[in-house]
Amino acid sequence: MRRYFARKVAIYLLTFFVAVTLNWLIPRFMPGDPVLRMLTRTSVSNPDAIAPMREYYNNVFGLDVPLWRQYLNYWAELLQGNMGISVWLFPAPVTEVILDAVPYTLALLIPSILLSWYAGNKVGALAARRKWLDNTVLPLGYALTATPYMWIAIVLAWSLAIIAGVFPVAGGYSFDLQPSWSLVFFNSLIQHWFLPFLSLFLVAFGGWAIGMRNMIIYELEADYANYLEALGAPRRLIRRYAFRNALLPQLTGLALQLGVLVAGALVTEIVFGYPGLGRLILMAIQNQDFFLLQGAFLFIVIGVLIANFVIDIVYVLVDPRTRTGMTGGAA
Amino acid sequence: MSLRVDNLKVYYRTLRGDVKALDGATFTVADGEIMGLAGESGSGKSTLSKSLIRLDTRMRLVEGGVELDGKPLPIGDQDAMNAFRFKEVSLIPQYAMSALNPTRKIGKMISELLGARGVKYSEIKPELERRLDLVGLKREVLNNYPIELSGGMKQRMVLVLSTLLNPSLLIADEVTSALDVSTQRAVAETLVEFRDREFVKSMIVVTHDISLVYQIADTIMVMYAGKLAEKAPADVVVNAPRHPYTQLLISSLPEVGVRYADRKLAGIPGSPPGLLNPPAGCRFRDRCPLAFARCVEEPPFVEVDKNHHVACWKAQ
Amino acid sequence: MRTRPRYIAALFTAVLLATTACEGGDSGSSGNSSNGGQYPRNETLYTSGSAWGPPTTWNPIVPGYATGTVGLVYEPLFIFNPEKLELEPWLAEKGEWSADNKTYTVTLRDGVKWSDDKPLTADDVKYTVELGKIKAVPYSNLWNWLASVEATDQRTVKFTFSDPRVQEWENWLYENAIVPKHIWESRSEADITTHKNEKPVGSGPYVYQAHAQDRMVWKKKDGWWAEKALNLKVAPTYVVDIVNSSNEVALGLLTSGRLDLSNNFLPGVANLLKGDFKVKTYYAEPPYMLSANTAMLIPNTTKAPMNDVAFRKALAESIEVKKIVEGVYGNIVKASNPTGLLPVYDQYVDQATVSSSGFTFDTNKAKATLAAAGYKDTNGDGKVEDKAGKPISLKLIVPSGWTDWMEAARVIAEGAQAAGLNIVAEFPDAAALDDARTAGKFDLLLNNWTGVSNTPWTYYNYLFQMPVQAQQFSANFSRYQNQAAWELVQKLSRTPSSDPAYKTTIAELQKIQLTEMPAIPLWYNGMWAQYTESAWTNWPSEAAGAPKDFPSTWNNMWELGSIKMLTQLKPVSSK
Ligand SMILES: Nc1ncnc2c1ncn2[C@@H]1O[C@H](COP(=O)(O)OP(=O)(O)O)[C@@H](O)[C@H]1O
Ligand code: SF4
Ligand SMILES: [Mg+2]
Repeated sequence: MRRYFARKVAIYLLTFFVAVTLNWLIPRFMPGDPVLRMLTRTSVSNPDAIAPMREYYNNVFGLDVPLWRQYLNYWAELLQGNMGISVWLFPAPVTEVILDAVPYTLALLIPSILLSWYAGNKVGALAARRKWLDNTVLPLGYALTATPYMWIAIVLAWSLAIIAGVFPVAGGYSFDLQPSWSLVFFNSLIQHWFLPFLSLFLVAFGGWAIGMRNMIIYELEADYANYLEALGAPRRLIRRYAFRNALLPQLTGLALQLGVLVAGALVTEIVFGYPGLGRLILMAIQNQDFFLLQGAFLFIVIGVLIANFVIDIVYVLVDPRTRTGMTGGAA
Repeated sequence: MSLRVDNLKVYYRTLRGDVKALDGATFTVADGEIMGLAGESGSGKSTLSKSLIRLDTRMRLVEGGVELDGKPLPIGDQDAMNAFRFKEVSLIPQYAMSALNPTRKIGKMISELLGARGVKYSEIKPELERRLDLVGLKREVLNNYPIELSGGMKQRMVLVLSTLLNPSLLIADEVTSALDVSTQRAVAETLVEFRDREFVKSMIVVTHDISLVYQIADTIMVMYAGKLAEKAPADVVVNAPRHPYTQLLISSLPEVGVRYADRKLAGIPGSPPGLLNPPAGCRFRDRCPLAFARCVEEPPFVEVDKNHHVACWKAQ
Repeated sequence: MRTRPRYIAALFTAVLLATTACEGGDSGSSGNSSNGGQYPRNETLYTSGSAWGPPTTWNPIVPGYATGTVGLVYEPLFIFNPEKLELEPWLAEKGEWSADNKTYTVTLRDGVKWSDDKPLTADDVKYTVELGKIKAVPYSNLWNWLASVEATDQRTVKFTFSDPRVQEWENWLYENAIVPKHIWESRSEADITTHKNEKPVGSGPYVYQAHAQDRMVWKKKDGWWAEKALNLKVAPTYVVDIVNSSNEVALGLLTSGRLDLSNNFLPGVANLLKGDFKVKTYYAEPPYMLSANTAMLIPNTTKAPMNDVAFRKALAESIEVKKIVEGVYGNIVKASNPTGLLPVYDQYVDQATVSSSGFTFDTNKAKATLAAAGYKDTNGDGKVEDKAGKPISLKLIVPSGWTDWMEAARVIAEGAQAAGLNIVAEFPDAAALDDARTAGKFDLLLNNWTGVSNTPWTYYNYLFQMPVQAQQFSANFSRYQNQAAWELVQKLSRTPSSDPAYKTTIAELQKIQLTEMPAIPLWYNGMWAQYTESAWTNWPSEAAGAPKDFPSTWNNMWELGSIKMLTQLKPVSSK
């Protein structure tokens, strides 16, 4: 067990190292020059100022040392939580920009991922045994997963926010509020959060429900289920086993989904005018703000790695087969 | 009489009509009797053995009845049947390798199963451990997951579990087909031992390997195309079969008693009729070297000798 | 395990309750100004259209600061009145040129205070101007022609020029905000341009209240100097500028009455105005919007055939601007005068030159112009080849995602194709386009960096600025070199508007521009502004008696008088 985890941790560290290195490399091999960005932004009209300003911004962005040094500096700074300075939002530090945005994104992603997973699995499992549910959930689930996410988001925003006016159109909380520990503020947060959350929840939910339903039906046909039936075990026990076993591939799916959902958040945040990392990424791309982009990607990489690690651990706890694999690997 | 099966007809419902996979079986299995059930693939062995414990959703009880220890066995009623399963009738499935839930520790699964059947695990545990000892499994396997056991161990584990509540009838469906020869023999011997120790009263051992079943079975029943062909004490079936099909079956094997390969029952030319609309009369007619005019009528399964039943006009 | 679904149900009910509770809260809270952290609707102005990213800096020295940093908090010495085309004293009480135009003396108003209550003095002005000696400060070129700045007393600043560029100086005077020396002097040279300057201390009517990822909130401060000096009071207690996520979201906010002023480009706005959405614009009829800047087709004159004036002429003649104005914009913009001068400069347009040398859309004429200059279709592909017979294939680039410009570029390419010019539209990322423009690696592009200002000098400086560098950051993207024109531009810069030479110099420049076509003016981009009267009225409009200020929150519009819009607004409830 210990060895298994040591190996896992080593793999994750290696992945992290490679991701960071790639992350560092990408902007340096992409067209576009952050210093030029800044010079354009400040509209230097004084020809004499161009050279000194180049030098100045090269220094600000740490581009005035040899590449290998830049790489080492990048690591050194990174380990202190420093990811450089944003070009687009100059002179804000990337770390700060990201940390300001992250709470919103996490507040959307984590509940929508986990709740859709939970609810999708529950409903999918129920659908596997109730005909009427199956007849409603299955087409609904297929419809939800087949609809482009953008559509769902726009339809929700348009119908519930703009036309019906039940939910706000944009913002992280009401534009007439200042953050405080009050019920009004909390209400406002929830209200603004709900539609973007719902849109993410719905798309993911459909997929999980269908997946679970099919997995359960498959599991109920499995040999162990037949054997238990032959020994007169009650349906309830067999279903419990089937549910649990069907959950395992769903867990793997969850790990895979995590990265995809971050991309989903990008569209959500734009359609619902919701603040967060997704919007930042889009703007960073449009503005060739590689430092911000680097930071955002790094954050996502870390997030996905952590999530996968957690799921790895959970997997080991729930699936004995991986554990034998571990001892097998250690032996 | 432990088991009495009377004119049992179980069909499969399909879109094209009923598949008459078990079309009127009448036989008995005595207390302490190990009956080998042989016949080529598709002859209805599994249908018969499943019928005795659990009809699957596509199977339909058409006619006939079953009695176990003098009480009727409600095989057509899933819920009523549940009370008998495991306790009165039990099964060692063909797929013993994958019969245990992979994500539960074996002990835990057994305890949950027993709990659900109203049996206290703690009370039965000493007996369980004794039987594990008997089949040569360490008691620790209860703390293992199925994947941690070898194929043979799993087979023995299922054997112990299926017989734990001392059922009257144990159905072992092709238990050995997936095992290597030495393990096959060991499992077969264990079956006999369980009968001898009265863990089970009687057994139906389904196989298409007569050579193996001959070593452990008291009687052998041969099926052909959903019908019973012949039932007799094992050495009678092997040495003096009366049904032309059995005769061909036996003669197509290498010398009995010696090690014979897994030839199955394939040496007879032609193939059995489809069971969707089987022809009237003797179903072996098309392949039977002795077939004659009368054979267009269906031969009854009658006792031609003591404990020797045959369904053939030539044998009467 | 079993009880978990109930938690979810509870959560859902909580959300529903919150929804209904807040609906009640919304209607109940308006008019209740005692409500804790809530900005009362009738005291709050909601704006959007200038910020596209979270507010992260309040440093007025480098562009990129939060909306309103300059304008609401930091103020210039003068503001520009585009209606009268003259500077209006703002922090300054007056400014005067010496008789020889070598020195300029600014007298500051009495009693102007920073928001930390320290007085704003001549030292602050001197300090701000001298910041330009730092190369990274955008106005560092000021010191190419300014010799010295001197605070002669608390309220008097004397500027001595080595080269008195009157027009450029006046431009500087209203475009740059004064910062408090007592706060800034402790900052290092590098800090001046990299400091975020949180909680800015300024002289303007608002102070920092709060900001979040998606908003910037300003709060009115007591005792703004203009209340006494000019009898001007900003009406909204709070200004909440909403960070744009998309124009669709802005439209949603606007039509649902949650946004008072949208400075977004809303493509279908003409329909909105006709429909019952209570949305208003400056003009009730097309073009609805004031003109903000001139959209120009920029040919890269360092490349053939763009280096040939006949080619540029023919290109200009091939473009059906009407199709852009109507088809692409639905009439919310106006076709440009051939001179490219904005409508506010109409008085300077030399109509004689325009009618003799101006261009109009005429495909046949374009073909004739090409033929006359030796561009013929020698290979019979329907497109002309260059004079040497080699095929011409040019790209017109506009930023991807700028849907109106993309459409316009297609119209331009179509027109050119019809005249036999093989031009296709392409849409790189905005930033990639920036790089191409700066480095001169393009054939043709659209640009509109020449907007309303105190003087057409900014426009001609944009067109003719020299010397042409390897990288052009702000002007002369055509890289057009004409020493005579450049000298005229410099002359214009030194000529006071009152001097008769001012108008004649402009006329001479027009002639060069129309005959040489360094860039092709196409249409005037609108100063997008749509407002609702759900909370505020008396918006700027053409209507008689209505304020005439620019209704815009875009950065650098405040000092063009938009700040005065805030003093004219009236809350609906007190109408
Ligand atoms: N689910 C089913 N549906 C239709 N026919 C079936 C089904 N299962 C088995 N059969 C048919 O029933 C007959 C008997 O099958 P089975 O009892 O499995 O034979 P055995 O066990 O002797 O190989 C075969 O002809 C087979 O094709
Ligand atoms: S009944 Fe006839 S056909 Fe059938 S086995 Fe006997 S002899 Fe052969
Ligand atoms: Mg079978």
